[in-house]
Amino acid sequence: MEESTEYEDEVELYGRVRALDKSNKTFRFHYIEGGKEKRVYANLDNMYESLIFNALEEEDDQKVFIRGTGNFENRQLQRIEMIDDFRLLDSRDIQFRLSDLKNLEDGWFENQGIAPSTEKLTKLSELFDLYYTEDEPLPYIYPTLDGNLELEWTINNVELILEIDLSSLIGNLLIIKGDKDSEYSLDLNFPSGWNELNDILKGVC
Amino acid sequence: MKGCTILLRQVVSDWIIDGRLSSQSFRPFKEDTLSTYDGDMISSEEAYLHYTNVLKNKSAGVYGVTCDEVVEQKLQIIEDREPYEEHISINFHDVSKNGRKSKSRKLASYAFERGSLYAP
Repeated sequence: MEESTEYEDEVELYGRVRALDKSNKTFRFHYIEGGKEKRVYANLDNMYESLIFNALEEEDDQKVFIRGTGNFENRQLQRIEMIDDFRLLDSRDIQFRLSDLKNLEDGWFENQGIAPSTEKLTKLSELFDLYYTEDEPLPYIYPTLDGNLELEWTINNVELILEIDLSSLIGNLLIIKGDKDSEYSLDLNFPSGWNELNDILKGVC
Repeated sequence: MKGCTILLRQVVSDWIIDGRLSSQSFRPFKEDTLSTYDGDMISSEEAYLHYTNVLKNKSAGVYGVTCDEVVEQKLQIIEDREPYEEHISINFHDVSKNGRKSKSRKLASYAFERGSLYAP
């Protein structure tokens, strides 16, 4: 007997709501996987209906997070059957951005530019989730050509550039105030490094 | 070139978030020089088409800084005109790693304030 390849599993997806079918009580959700845009239909959940409407109406490309149960066939997500969590995200949401960067491919800049390691991005996502203080301003997160990241903040005319080596999770923070700058080394493997980062950002705000 | 001449720089989408440019957009990577187009000789759109169609690179848009803004950062402008006639280099030679970050951040901010000069 042939083994069934259909199954249900939990899904956590970052993407955008693109269309709504009120008569069928479904919406179309777009997300990026392996550098390609994927489309999947999801059942419209009464609890999150107004948020889903808002996500669609936003003009500036509203980013959203969905956690729920997906229906898979041959390992491909076919449909989101049930939604357990639906969130509208800030345009600079850290988890969305780090998830998005997993889709970067080698050669992204002038045929050079190494893609950051997916595994290391996942590790960094977990650390941000655990230790980055929510009331601090969200960084702009950019990939670097050597496969690492640079995070930037502009706060009260102060520029901060945090270069993170994804292999070692050591951060080099440069603070630029007018013509003067100062530099800090932060070990982001440990809470102490994150506390220092949070304290520095709090001091600048 | 004049002080108000705009030096055009191509920026990839990965370095633009909410319209804000990464400082890396205006910082050389391993080299000492940053490639730009002479805005007096080529339009933003033509520069974009040259960069994407002829050089086969990706660009999300064209941004620019004036020669005055580059000189203000104590960076030298080299009219090398190679490998193509409109090519101008901004020289970061002898600038420290932190200095490069600081100066490129300033240039990226000037370019951001000026806005996208051409987007496909």
